[in-house]
Amino acid sequence: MSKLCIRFSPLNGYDIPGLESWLEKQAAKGLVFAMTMGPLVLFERQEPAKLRFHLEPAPSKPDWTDPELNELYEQAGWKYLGLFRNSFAVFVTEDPEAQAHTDPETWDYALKRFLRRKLLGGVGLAILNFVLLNFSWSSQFTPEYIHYYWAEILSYGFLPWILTVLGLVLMDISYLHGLFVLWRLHRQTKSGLPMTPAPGSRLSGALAALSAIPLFLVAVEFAFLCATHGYFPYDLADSNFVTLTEIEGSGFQISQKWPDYMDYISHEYTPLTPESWFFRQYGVGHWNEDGTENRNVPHLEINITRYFLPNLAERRVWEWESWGRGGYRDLEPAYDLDQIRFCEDEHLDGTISYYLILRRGGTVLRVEYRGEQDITQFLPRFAEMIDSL
Amino acid sequence: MPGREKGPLTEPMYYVLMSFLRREMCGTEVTDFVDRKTKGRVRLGPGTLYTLLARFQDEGMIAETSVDGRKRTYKLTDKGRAAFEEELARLRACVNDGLEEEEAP
Repeated sequence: MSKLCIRFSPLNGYDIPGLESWLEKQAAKGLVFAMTMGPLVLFERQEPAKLRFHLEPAPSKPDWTDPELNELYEQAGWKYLGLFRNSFAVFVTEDPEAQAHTDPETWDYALKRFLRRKLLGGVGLAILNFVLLNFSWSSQFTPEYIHYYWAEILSYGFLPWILTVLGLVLMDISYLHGLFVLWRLHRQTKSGLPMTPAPGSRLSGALAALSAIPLFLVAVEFAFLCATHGYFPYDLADSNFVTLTEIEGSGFQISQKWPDYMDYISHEYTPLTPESWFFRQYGVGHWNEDGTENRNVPHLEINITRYFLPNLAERRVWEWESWGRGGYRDLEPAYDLDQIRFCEDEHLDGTISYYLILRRGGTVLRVEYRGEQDITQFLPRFAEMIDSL
Repeated sequence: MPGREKGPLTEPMYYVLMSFLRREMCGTEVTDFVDRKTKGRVRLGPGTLYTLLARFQDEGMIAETSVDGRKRTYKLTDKGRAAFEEELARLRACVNDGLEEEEAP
């Protein structure tokens, strides 16, 4: 049997009497406090024992593992076990009558000093809220977009943003409740009442533990972005993508000007955003001399997104269809594709854009084409592209 | 020189200040001094003593003089001595008032 045992702390991290009582109950089961790791508490398996615990609030000095503190406690028969989340030094004794604090006024002073430090810590938490929310927010997260185009905005980091909001809300609630817990302990001490575990401590402890899950995922996402930028382009030559030359014929002249021309495939993904590909090409003469667009020049644009779930891809098909003026129709199912949708859209200047949306499982591909060729002739090639991704 | 501004000292505060009157001391010596002086009547928990030493230092009533391993030694400052004397005078006045009242015909 492992000598170590891990438990979630079930109480608010500032609930001193509640945590002391919980540690004593764990010791009675043979689990003696060793250390904390975020919301997790590590215990060492020992013989069940009736022990008395005390959590000493970290003093304002920066060296919170103060040797003098340990010296004084050891002299009084206590043993130092470690730090509880950098907030408390944990001491234990076998003496059931031992008292760490014998002067209520001094204990109240220690509590007030600790409360002040935690209030200052709130400034750090507010900064963390601001930085994380700003980092993960995108201007596309408007109520309309979230309501109608939520599958699309998953590609713009909507999931990390939602997880950030969720994690921070849980953490903030737990922090505010923690301040209330400390203020309540201060009031009890000042009134000469015995300190008791705070109401709602279990709930806010659970919220703090839960907040670690989304924030951990966001941290993984952040680390991934820092290391890779989430952008992995590759050469067009190495891809199996359909090109404008392939559609229009080998003699067709492709514009070589950026951003009309891409000789690479734009390819992005992170742990929390779907993998996506983008590619486009225009024929020569896309821009008129007066800066207006020449819509008679052939154009090809390919967007592909691979979702975690087929339902999301199905939703994306619907969202893409709702962009245009409608008129999408089903084409005969083929090439092992789950959906084939096609639409012709005539512009005011008389030019026609053709849209093809293909879906296989969680992968959805959208082709926008302007030109004289029949884009549906290239369905097998687009299906092949999905295979080769 | 003004003493402590925040009202009377508690017993542990009073005895901790008293322990520094004659010489410099470290925390463990303070505990022994208070225990010996009060014959065990005033109990000085380690958390209380640690908080008091930090508090008195913050308030300028004691000053650290040396560090030897895990032990820190402190001395009483003029402000600390004034606070102690102020409290002593207050306690004397309390005792005198009590005696006077008790002995009154």
